Parts: sequence; structure tokens; C-alpha cells
Amino acid sequence: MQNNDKLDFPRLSRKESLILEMLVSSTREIFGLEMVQASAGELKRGTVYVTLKRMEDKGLIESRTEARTGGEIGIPRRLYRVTGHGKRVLEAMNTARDVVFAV
Amino acid sequence: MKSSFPKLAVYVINAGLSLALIIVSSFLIVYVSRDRKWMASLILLIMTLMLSFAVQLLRTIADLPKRPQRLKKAPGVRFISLVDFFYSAEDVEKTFKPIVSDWHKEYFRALAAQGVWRSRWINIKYRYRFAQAMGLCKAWQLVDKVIGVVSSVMSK
Repeated sequence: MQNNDKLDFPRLSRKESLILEMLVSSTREIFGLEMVQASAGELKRGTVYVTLKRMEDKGLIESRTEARTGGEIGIPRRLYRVTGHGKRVLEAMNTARDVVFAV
Repeated sequence: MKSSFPKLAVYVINAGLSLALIIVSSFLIVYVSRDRKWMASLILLIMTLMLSFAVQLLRTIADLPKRPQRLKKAPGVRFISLVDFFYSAEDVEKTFKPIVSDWHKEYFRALAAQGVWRSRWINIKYRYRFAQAMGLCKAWQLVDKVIGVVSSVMSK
């Protein structure tokens, strides 16, 4: 994603950081509506998937379409989980934040 | 097609009318016509005609077809066709289809709970959210393009 070597330090928006924290703390894959409901108004239904798509492009998370069990109606949901890179980025961001606030 | 008028109601009304006819006819025959047999016959004939007319009317009402129901597409399906035209397949798959999926989940849940007005309100809200996502997606694409152009100019 980042061809420029000077921009190697990962940058996360508040929403991206919140989503990563949710995914890291969850033991299973979660879907967008769950994240919206758990965020207490911080994430919106209309914009969460745009953010998730961008995060997926950055390699922070990965997703798959939910398997249908039969008898269900509507379009299948999309399940998200954090990648190894996403976990490392979140750790780096948390460490950086701790250092900044310690000073 | 099924009628909206319940069959049981037709039977109950028919039985009530028949009983009323028997009572009225007996009363008329006994107290009004007395010695005039022709009058009793006329009353019986009129009553029979009235009853058959009422029965026929009730049957017609019972067999009236309901207004035909139209098959409706699930909400948001047309929006998917729209974004299919303007956005990449990846954007549709990863951004817009999940929105419509949530839309369906909430919409059908509201319908199952007999919340017709709530389901309509969900439709309105999700139309707005869908438009919001369309705008935001294009805006980010534009920002990425501008950043790409600026960084390529800077690198030269």
C-alpha cells in the first residue's frame, strides 16, 4: 500500500482503532452490525463498511461471506477478523500512545 | 383466490335469516292471513324469494376475490443494481452488499414482529445510509486519486 519508505509508520483513525480493538478482543469473527451496536454510537451503519473496506485494503483485517445454513432470506452477512499485521499495528499504536502520554 | 369474508360468518347469517323467516312467516300465516289461504301462500312465496336472494347475495360476497397481491422485491435490491453500474465489483461486494444485508436483517425482523410502520421507517433510514455510503466511497476514491497524483508529482 505504502510505496513511500518515509510513510512506514502505520496511521490509524479513531474509528479504525476502535474496530481493531473490537476484533482483537473478540474470540470469533464478527459482522458489521455487531460492531455498530457495540460501539455505542461511535460507528454508523452507513459508514462502517466503507471504513472496513479501507482497513481490508490496508491489510489490517480480512473478511469472508457468511456460510448459509438454509432457510435464510436476504443477502448473506460479511464476517470480519483481524490479521497478524492488524494486531501488530494496534500494539504499535497503543505503545506509541502510552509513550506520548507518559511524556 | 380466498375471500376476506369468513365462511363461518356466511353460515351464521344464513342460519339467522332462515330462522327469522320461519318465525315471521309463521306469525303472518297464523295472525294475518287466518282464513285467507291465498294470502298465506303469497307471503310464503315472497319470503322464500327474499331468503334465496339473501343467500345468493351472501354467497357472492363470500366468493368476492381479494385485491390481487403484487410480488415485491426485497428492499435494497434495486440499489445494488444501481451501484453495480457506478462502482467496482469489489466495492459492491465489500461495501454495499453488507449494508443491504443488514437492511434485510432489520427489515425482516421488524416485519416478523408485525411492525409494518417500523419496517417502513427502517427502509427510509437505510436508503439514507446507502446514499451516505455511496458518497463516502466516492469521496475516498477521489482523495486516494489526489494523493496518488500529488505523491507522483512530488517524487519527480
